[in-house]
Amino acid sequence: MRHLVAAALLCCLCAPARAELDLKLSGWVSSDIRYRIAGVEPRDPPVPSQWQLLNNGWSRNENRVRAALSIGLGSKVKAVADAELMMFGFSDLRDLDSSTLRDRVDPYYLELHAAYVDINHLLPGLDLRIGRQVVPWGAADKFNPVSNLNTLDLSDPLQFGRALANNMIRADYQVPLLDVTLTAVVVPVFRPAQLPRTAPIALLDPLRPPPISDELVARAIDDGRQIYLVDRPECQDALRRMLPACNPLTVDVSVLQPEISGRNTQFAFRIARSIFGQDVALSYYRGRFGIPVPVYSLLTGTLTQTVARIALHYPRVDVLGLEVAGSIQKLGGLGYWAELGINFPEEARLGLYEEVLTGQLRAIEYLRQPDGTVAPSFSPLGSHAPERPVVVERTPFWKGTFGVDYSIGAHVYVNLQYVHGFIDEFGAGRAPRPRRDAKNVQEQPRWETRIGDYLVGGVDVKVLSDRLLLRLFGVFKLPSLDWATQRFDDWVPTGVLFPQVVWTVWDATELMIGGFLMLGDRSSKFGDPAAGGSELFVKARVSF
Amino acid sequence: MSDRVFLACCVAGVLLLGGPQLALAQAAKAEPAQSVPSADELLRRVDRQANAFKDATFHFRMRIKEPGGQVREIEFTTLQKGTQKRLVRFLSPGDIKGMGILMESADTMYALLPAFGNRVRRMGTHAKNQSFFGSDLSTEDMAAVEFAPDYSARIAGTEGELTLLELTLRPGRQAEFPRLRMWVDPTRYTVSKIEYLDQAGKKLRTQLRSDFKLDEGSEHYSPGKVVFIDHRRNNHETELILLSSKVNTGLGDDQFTVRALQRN
Repeated sequence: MRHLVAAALLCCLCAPARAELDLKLSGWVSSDIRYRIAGVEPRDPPVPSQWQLLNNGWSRNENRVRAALSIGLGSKVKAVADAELMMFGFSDLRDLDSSTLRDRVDPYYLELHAAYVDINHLLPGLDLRIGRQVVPWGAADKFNPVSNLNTLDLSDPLQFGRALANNMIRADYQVPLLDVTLTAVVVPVFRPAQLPRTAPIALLDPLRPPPISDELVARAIDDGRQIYLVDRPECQDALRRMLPACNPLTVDVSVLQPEISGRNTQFAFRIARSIFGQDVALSYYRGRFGIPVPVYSLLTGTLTQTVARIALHYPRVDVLGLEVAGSIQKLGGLGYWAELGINFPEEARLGLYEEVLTGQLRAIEYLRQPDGTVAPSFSPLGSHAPERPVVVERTPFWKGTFGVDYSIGAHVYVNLQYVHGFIDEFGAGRAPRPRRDAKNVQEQPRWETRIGDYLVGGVDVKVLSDRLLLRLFGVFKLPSLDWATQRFDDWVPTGVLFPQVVWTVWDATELMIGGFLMLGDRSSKFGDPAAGGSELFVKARVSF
Repeated sequence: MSDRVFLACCVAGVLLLGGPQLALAQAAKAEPAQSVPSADELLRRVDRQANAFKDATFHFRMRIKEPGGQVREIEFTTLQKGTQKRLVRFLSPGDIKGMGILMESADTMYALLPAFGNRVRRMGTHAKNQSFFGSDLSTEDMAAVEFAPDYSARIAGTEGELTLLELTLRPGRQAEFPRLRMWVDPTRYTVSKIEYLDQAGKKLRTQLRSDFKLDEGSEHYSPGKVVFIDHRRNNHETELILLSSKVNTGLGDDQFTVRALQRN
């Protein structure tokens, strides 16, 4: 055996060098410190302060080190590894034991943005890429409804639109003579989106209206939950505190990951070519949406300590995509892009159960009454198939982005987009928004279309020999129309302002200050605490 | 929402990176002067030599000298085939390292953005209007593949062995600079100096070319150094140093595609 190993080693060592080795190293070191200027009051449960949206406070205290190594072997083979180490800069101590653990005292994560092997010209016109990678499709800026192979990293608004790498097999084939590029991608295992640390504010709020399409059912469930508001006047009576109606509801959310089976394999195809100087591509994706929706809710526990166990799952979807991009010479080289994704979702319904009142597991369904209202009905399991309210309708819906950009002179750049469907939006129909005041149960929630309309625009001004960049970008929500019901949103103004100054202090050395200002009341898209509070930031980065 | 923004900040300059080799390509291969050509003929010969190669690979270092004495260095390679196809890759500094720009034609440009998941962006040609990291190269440097179609020439004299041409914009043509003064070597058709003037004759910018060398395996001369001085910006100066060049190596069309850009 030892001889065999020696012989194999000898063969390797003696093998002639057949390709030139090309090593490239790049990356950066950065620090990012942020201060929240408009959050919300602390919540009752004691959780580490950095995970709350305190009115004011240091919200991020991060350091990041990123390094990418590219290894080229001739013109045919390339391997890329790209890793980022992030130190949160906050301790995450919840008990004495955690204070003895280094990763809790000084938490960090390591993200592998790429780890793949390229084999180019495997066959004439055929390239293969296998491994952890991002496949960014789409012609638009940041809002790419046709780019679904990689889910998004929603953990940081300043990294808006960053995709999460995943293991894939990608093949590109250039059709001879036709100038057509065909791409096929297979993703064996689904990787969910990275939710922000503020997501539990929405998911764990027992008084937040459920995302159910049927307005009457949603309202009935919402009304039912109001009994858990403990500071109502009628709950001041000690006797009433013996009932669930005057005790807080604890919400416990679990996530059902798609099982790792062949059925859950994601795949996509794309065909692209240039037509009259404009880039056109058609695509198809089959997989799942990266942000989960609720599918089960079980009320359990005791009369005085009720727990709602909610299960989320990632809805399956098929997406047909169209993208066009080009330049209009008659308008001074105006850049334009249009991107359209038609989504065909699998229906998702919310199964409602309880076992508190009788100790037996019962299904809950909301039935329409002769007077037009709905009321809960309880039935033992197995007696019949209860009607479950719809969370994601089967109705197809579209998301799209249409934009232009232009340079004015040498120093000014302008970018404008209309976006139908924000990155976290999914499904047809309408859904209730959270209340303006979380505890004012008398207030009826506003209803908005699930797919909203937005105006996204910004301007860059470069001065001092381009060493100083002044940037102002903004997102503003427009009123939307639900075509099925012909009803407009009960709209309130909301948006995001993103002013930023980037000073290139020296080669590859950037100093950035700016703000991320979320505008709107609590019921609005960007004023919702779950979207994160407004922040001021200072960042420094050196690239190599 | 900022990838295209970031891109536009860079892409104009990247386009200009076509400029250096175009500017450098103004250098001519040796061609015996059989008779004294007219001014317009001399200009045409300069143009002919500007793209005397089928394909080329250049490696540049750009040095942007700022008023405070700071020097910003940008290193990049340019692959070119014909007068249209061009692929530029940035090597340094770190904040633009790995970026790439592909020009399939004058109207079709793409940019590779490593910071955004290696996304490739189609760019509007308005991006040519943008400045390039505060350098002194202009869109005209990029577009000026040939002078003769846009300018008429007259011989204004000689300086040593160089012939001084005065170029005037032809009627109906548009260019940033309506008048040029060009110092031409009448034997190699290389250009040593260009002054860019406004209509009144005020000098706006100067370009100096020096350190010509014969490209290996050809008769093409590349200037080892090009200096741009913008007099409108208080004599702001940008240097282009040619670190290496190879011509006629047989670059294929498949090296000027979006897929090639993505291969990085």
